[in-house]
Amino acid sequence: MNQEKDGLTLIDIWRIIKKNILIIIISTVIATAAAIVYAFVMVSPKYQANGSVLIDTSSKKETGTDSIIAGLRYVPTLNDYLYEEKFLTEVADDLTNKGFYDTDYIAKLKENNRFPTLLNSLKSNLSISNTENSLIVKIYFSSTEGEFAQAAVQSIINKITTISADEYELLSGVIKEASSASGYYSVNNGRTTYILIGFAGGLFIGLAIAFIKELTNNDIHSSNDVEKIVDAKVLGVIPDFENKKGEKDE
Amino acid sequence: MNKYGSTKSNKKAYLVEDLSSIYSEAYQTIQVNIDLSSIDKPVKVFAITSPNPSEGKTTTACNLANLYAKQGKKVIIIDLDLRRSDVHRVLNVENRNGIVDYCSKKATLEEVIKSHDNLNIITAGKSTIFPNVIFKSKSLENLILQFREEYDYIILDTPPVLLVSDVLLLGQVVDGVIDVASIGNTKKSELIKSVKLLKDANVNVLGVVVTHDKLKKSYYYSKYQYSQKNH
Repeated sequence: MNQEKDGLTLIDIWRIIKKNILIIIISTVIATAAAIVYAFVMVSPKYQANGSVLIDTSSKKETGTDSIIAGLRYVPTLNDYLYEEKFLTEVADDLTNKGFYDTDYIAKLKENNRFPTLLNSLKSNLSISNTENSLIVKIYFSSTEGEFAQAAVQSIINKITTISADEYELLSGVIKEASSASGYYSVNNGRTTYILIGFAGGLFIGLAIAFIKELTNNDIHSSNDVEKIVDAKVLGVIPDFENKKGEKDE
Repeated sequence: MNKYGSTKSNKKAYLVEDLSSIYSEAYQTIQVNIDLSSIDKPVKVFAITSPNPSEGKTTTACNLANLYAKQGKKVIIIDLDLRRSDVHRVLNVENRNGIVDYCSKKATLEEVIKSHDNLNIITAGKSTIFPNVIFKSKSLENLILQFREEYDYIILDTPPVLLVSDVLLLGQVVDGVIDVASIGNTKKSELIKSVKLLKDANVNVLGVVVTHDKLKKSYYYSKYQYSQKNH
């Protein structure tokens, strides 16, 4: 007796999909609908603001081409410094003073040693970019509150452009404001991604249900099934009889 | 009512009358494959069984027999499904005297053989509470031996092999057994088990006939007529 041969042919796969197309469609529609609801109801809108600073090394007595080359050397340092905990702490304090953070709340975080969590949140919403060989560094900040994003960008610009020699001599006097914080604007909060994930997930679940259902189905579906499972020749295939009333035969 | 208890469906057997129909073509294919299944020793006597009831073995047996008869062959069909005999209904003959009556010497051979359009038929006849006694009887064995000399084909409609073991007793008297599987009704495990049972009993399995294949309407390229026979 033959063991059932491994593997599905393309025809088998197509047959399974065709037979269970309703399950697949329903699953996909439900998951996509759920993802749409989640994306538009549960996921908060996201806003962003931006500003930019200029690296100007003329105060360091660098001029001309030397000034540009020297300035380019400051870019990586600036990028790294903006993410430093010490710097972000100053930004957080500034935002607290402006009323964006509750003073007591910040005090409690510091007391419970959970202030780094807030700093990490600032870090994760902050992004820096600059074009190669450019002395202008763009600062972006994202938040679910547009005004906060705008205030955060301006705070960062204010702090970095007024850094003292005691704080960081290398960067002191080198960073100038190129453009202040822009008004905040909406950005993609991942809704499209959620919807696509919902669609793909629903499709996958539908297909999984279809294939599990069919592969665990013990019924014979065609003469091919017979040839796969028994060591006996298929002598012939008789079509289903139907009489005029549509009744089936033995 | 039948002695197997409840069956999966209350389906009906059909006798194909139009020799140009796709059904007739399908049975002719089976005929050719039966002949090809054993080239050394021609197949004259074969039994038809299935894993379960209502999977198409009586329809297959009657239509093969009918087709052989229409082709001018000398053929006889014997209904050995003694618990649920249907051949007499499909072929529209009386069931008054049959193989049970012959084997128990209550009727002569002439009394039990009936005719339908050049096809000779022995129905089940009187019901019996010991069907396997008929299968083991010398009368049946000798009868089949006698028919080998007189007929081109002897077709035996037998009970479902997974329900009763009668057909396993025919291994020595038949040239082979055809197992019938129904799409959408027969489980794979049931077909595997039925073929295994037959082979373990040293029965020559000629092959499998697959029934109830659902074709698309576009495949029906010719008109056909059929008669509906009720159980």
